[in-house]
Amino acid sequence: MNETQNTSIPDPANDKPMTGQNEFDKPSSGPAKPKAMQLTPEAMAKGLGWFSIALGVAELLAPKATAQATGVNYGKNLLQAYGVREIATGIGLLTSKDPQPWLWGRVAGDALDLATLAADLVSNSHKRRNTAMAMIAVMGVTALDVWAAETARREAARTAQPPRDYSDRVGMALPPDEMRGKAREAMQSAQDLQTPSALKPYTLH
Amino acid sequence: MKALCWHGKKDIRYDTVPDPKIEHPRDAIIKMTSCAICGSDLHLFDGFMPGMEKGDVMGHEFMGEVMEVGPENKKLKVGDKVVVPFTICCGECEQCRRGNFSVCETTNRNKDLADKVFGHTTAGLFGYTHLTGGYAGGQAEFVRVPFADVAPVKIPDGLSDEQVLFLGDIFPTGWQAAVACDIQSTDTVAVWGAGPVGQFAIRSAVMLGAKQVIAIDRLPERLSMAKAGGAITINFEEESVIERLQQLTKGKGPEKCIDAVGMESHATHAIDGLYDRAKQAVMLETDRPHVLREMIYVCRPAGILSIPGVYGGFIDKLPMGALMNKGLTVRTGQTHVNRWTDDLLQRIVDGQVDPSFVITHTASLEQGPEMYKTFRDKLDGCIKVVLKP
Ligand SMILES: [Zn+2]
Ligand SMILES: [Zn+2]
Repeated sequence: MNETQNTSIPDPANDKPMTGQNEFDKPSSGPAKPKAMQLTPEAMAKGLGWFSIALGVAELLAPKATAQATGVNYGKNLLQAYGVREIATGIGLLTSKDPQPWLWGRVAGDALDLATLAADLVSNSHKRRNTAMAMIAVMGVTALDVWAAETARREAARTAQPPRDYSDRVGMALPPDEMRGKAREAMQSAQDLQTPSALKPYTLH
Repeated sequence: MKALCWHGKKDIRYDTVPDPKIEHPRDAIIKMTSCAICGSDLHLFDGFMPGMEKGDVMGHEFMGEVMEVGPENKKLKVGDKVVVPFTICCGECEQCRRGNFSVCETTNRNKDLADKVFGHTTAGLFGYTHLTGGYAGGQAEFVRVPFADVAPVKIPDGLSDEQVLFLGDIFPTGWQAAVACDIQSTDTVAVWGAGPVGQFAIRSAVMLGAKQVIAIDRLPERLSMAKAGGAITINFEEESVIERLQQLTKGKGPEKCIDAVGMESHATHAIDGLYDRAKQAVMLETDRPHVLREMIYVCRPAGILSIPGVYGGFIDKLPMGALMNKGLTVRTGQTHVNRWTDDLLQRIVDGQVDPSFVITHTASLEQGPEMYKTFRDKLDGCIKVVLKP
């Protein structure tokens, strides 16, 4: 690379922000707020809670339509009973401090749903396709429920103890700032892992 | 002898199995004195890696004393203290001669299977599925080490097991991850995952001269250890990773990104994590690439992604457009352990690094099954477990 190029091209290693990016220059005012797209385990439990209630209300108020949609042909009473169960689970998930028992309740409910649908698939010849689709949907929900419950269980077990402090575990002879760059010569030993010079900051040539 | 054996998902048992024997003149039998549970063992424990069979002996991080050597093994003598790298290599094939030990062409006994799955075989690994040879692992009283005249690292007197054990895997893995970043003194290196490999990657990046090293995790104990090693920390459950990385790099993004998490990223907090978890549960996807997506998104154009984290199969919704248009370099692979061991052993002897800092739990081999759970669930501040026979 020739020298004139070096001086005419803006230096990419220079950390001055480019135009229009000055907002990043401002010091951070405390931790940034979680983005709207983020889902905490609690938020997930709540989401499943609302889902339970919606499904429960459908089963309770419109057992016929629900039966038709899923292709199951067992009685209105059974479906309404399932609806009550879903609503109870939903309320539990939305109101309790520890969502765990309710999440496992959902898993048990999923198993019951799957058993009912499976029995239906065997005994009932018409609308098999609908029943099979309903089973696949319930299996997906079951997987999500099991995972949510598992995650909640592990988190509860982990956070039951105060966190350990390992701030004395440096692992190097000197404090990090004094160790910075102490092993730079190692880079010569791995030529195939070096950046092609065209991609390196100009200042380091 | 006694060993920790895989019996299925979340089912590791302390079993009695037959003693290993010399099967080839270059073999050696090692009497294990210390072994460790590695983060990638958890992929087997959780049933996310294919190719395990009931009764397989686990473990690929171990060291011990040479008990017996085959007649053609000129390197080792009975009584030698050795650390055994997790990649089995022949030292003779084209890849070994180039120093690409983890893709040795000859040591995978199930080469045909690996050829089919990956297109080409990679090296045989200890205790890590039949896809990589189905070799018995080192979480056992005795281990058969094939091609023992190549990889094992002889340890000089005066060093403890704890100081050198990690030369077999996580220390060179974190080191290679940082070396692959080709760190310049102006670089910000962001490390996703402050588990054991992340901890070594952080210290390696500091020693290789990075201007700024940033560690991303959610567990306070891991973050405190990362900070001790010189990292600025981001708790992804408390703040936005992307926003904070932008702040710390004046809007330009880190030049170098290291994925020390791999296929089981814990992203319950992100929509894409939920999507991947659901697909993974019904076997439509094997790996969860939340970290990869985030790295590709935030990395500075023309930067490097270094991926020591283990992936097993397929991933979905990878932002290939960003990867290509930003001109990112991707470097990945199992560790070419022996490329780095001479240098790293010397650094330990010189006192520059003491890898034992990462050990938080020591237990007996018999307590192994329990320790798998403690490690997996990050209970009791667990970061790294060492097991003793
Ligand atoms: Zn490992
Ligand atoms: Zn080879």
